[in-house]
Amino acid sequence: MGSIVKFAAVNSKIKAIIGKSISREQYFKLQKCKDIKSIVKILKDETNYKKILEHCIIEKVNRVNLEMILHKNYISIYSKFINYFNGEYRKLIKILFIRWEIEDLKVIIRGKYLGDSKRQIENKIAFRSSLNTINYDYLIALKNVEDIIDALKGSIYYNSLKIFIKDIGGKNLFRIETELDFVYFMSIRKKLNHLDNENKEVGYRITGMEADLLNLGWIYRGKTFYKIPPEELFNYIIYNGFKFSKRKLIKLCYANDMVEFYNLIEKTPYAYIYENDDLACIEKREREFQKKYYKKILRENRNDISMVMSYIMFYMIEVRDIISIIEQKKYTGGISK
Amino acid sequence: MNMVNIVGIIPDFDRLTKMLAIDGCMQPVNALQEINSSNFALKTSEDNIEMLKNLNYIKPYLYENDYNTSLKHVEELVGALKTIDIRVSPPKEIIFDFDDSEKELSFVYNKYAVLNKQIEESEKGEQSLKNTFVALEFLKNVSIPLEEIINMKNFKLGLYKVSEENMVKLKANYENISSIIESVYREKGFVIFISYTPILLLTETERIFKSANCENIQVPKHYIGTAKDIAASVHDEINVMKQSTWKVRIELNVFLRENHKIIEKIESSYELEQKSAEIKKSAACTNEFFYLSGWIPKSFMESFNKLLLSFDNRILIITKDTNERNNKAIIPPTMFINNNIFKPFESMVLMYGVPSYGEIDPTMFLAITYTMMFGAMFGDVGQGLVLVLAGFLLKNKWGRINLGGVFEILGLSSIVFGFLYGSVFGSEYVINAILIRPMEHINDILIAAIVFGCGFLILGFILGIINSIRKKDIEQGVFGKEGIAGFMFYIGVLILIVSLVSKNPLLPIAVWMIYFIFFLLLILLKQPLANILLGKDILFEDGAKDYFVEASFEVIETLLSMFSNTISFIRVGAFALNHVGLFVAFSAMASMTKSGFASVMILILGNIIIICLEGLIVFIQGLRLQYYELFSKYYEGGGVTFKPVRIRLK
Repeated sequence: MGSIVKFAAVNSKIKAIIGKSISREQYFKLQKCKDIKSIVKILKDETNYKKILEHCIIEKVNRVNLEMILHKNYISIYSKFINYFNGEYRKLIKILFIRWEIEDLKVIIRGKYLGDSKRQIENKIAFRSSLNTINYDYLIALKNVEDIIDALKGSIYYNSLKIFIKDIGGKNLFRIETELDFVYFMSIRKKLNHLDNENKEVGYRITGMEADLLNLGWIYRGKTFYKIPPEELFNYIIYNGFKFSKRKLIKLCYANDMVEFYNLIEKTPYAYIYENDDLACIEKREREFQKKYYKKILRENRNDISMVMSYIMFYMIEVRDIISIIEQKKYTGGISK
Repeated sequence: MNMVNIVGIIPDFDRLTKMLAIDGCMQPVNALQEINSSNFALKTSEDNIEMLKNLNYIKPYLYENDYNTSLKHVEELVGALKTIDIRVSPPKEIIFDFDDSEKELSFVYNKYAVLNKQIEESEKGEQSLKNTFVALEFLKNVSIPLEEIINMKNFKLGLYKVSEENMVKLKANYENISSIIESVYREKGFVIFISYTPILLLTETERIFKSANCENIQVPKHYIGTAKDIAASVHDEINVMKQSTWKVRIELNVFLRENHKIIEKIESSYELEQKSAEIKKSAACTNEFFYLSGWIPKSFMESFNKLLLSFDNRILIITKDTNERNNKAIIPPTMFINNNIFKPFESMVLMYGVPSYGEIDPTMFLAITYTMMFGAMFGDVGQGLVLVLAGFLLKNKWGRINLGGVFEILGLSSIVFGFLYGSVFGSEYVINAILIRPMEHINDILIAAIVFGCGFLILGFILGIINSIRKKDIEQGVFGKEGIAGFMFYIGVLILIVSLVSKNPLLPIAVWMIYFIFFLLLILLKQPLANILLGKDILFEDGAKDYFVEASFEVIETLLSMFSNTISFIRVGAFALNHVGLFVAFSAMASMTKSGFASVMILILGNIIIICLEGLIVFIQGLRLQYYELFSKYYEGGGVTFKPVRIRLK
């Protein structure tokens, strides 16, 4: 009974919004578009993005501001979900947002490391909102990565990053990013521990899959691009034991080549993602996999936190899909020119 | 409300915006939008020729001062001030020039930062000594001098601090790490461990530790002796360190005490800078001139003009009343003007909506009718007094000015009706009723409630009609069900009922029937009639078929709602009875108990329940009558509040 009271309203809301998400046919249509203007036109005329694009003048829309509009809309929908909850659940939904904040933080840190201008960094930032736990303006105004880490004092990120203050190099940038992801999963896990068993379990089911994918990604990239020794690689792993036991993760880190790596994951659901040894393809398949996974959970329609947690991710994938279609157009457009 | 357009030279811009923020008289609007709408028209005279010429090169004003870092510093300083107990007085002066405040801030902040850094450093040293101490504790039973352990030929002793999660990883991969690891201390979230690593494999192992985010704790090299002896001297060192931290802390406190006025001044200055930036961002400019637009209420114009005097006629202003404007995209904001008695009730109006500009502010009407209704439903001298007291406390003790103010007035009304009903804390034996005892005249009370309700509704109709006329909305104001047609119909019904009840028919029934049908037809045909009067080409805006379906339902709704709205007011009488009834129940319970103490307790409890429960119900029911029965007649509430840019000097 309690869970019905807690989740009925938000789940019906989610079901209503899912009904309005972009369909397969609409995706095909978007893909067939020649340029960004026709994409915006289709989004405006045929999809549920009608409302947010209402005041847009199609001729004036460019990639950066369309992305901004989509992200803003995402944030506003996200913020609405928070209002359906109180207590620990509210805190959980709020903390889930740091996943996006971390993406921005990575952009800021990377941008500062590469010496990008303030404007360049600002343009890449997507999740500035009232849900932020850090002050973007202040961080962007700082001179270098050391200052940024120092300025994070008091935030949940500081303890994991302070060790990097002394030496920041290209390789440590990779480590800073793994550490930040680690902070995300640890914070979520801490919050999940406060929930009742049923919700804790579904929470793990969702974050477990995400952590697995991230681990595989790190191991793959660590092995193929950064050539990181296995002992170190294992230390970057987000350990959670969802589909991979600790043993299995160690084995993956110590795999000698990609064939061995693939053999180890062959019997897991993730095998399909790594069938092809091409990074772009892997990223695409990762997204497909996630989409299917969340869709399955959403279809189960259970009276627990799983609906919100998966919808938050599911919707972001839709946004990302649209953005990558646009990027593709920009790229091919450039060639035709 | 006036739309004021201001043009001046750039050097004056900063000072003007800051003075406007201090004065708090203007709500800025986007100047470019205003210029494009041609409301911002400069007279083509010789004096204005330069400004006019410049209008061609106009662009949005780009605010360039970057104060994010400074704001963080100010925040730090103010945060530090809060740790010491100092009475904050409003700053006497404020720095106008941005560069000056930057200079002053950096001067104060640098001094503060040096001291703060010292504290941080020595705290860090203290912590690292503590960690060493913990590790030495672990080795305390080893009788070999520590230097021999540290300077081993083939092994290296290491001391590390690591988070619990990463410790789990190290443990899981222990077989692949060429080192002996022993955890010596655990606290919430982290672990300290000692490692013995073969020198040959040192680099590799250190890299692994580093990748697990292990923080190296320096093993003291300058000590000689066994771990136990060293632990003792480390302990002494910790104490020395503590003392030095404490000294610097005192030094910092003295510094803050000496400089707190300056810090507060800087804080206000930055706040002013932010507010002025808010105004500036709405402005437009050319290389020489700035163009600023904003709403200023008429009552503030005087202080605004006074403010301009200090600029010696260098600033040109164009003031336009809302009626003279032709850009309807920018809606004029509404400012409430109410005296202190009615002011608390503004919050109740705002819960429904902000009055649009030009619409009658319903606060006074709501305050009077609501107070009367509440008193009538909750008439009791004693309980009213409790409400007044509660209001007083809310207002003065807990800072809830609006709620407290409303409670006070409602309590007073309750007291007045208490005297009229002769009721003190529910008891009807203490004083005589001046007017009526509700329980003894049930019918009279219910009828009186409806009569008052009719009166309120008629007032509501009148206000609604005035609002529609102000808006020049003939369709609703004249032919609408809340307009003159609806009003005449309602009055007709009331007269008919009164004449039927008093058996003194004024007009034959047939005439009444014609009268009613006539007004209902007006309501039914309101759109075509209004369009004919206005001389428009079309009769029906959305097609005749749709219109008649909708309008005929509206006619039925008119009949129903007039009836239900009027009957609704019966609740005022019913709650007056209910109020007595509830107390009767409690007093019956009290008289059933044998002990005097118990009956007194029941009466007290009863009164508490009546005040809390019935008070709340009556509060809500009254609000319901206001929002649903009355506001729907005359109030739209589609406006925006006047929000001037204003700096609050503490």
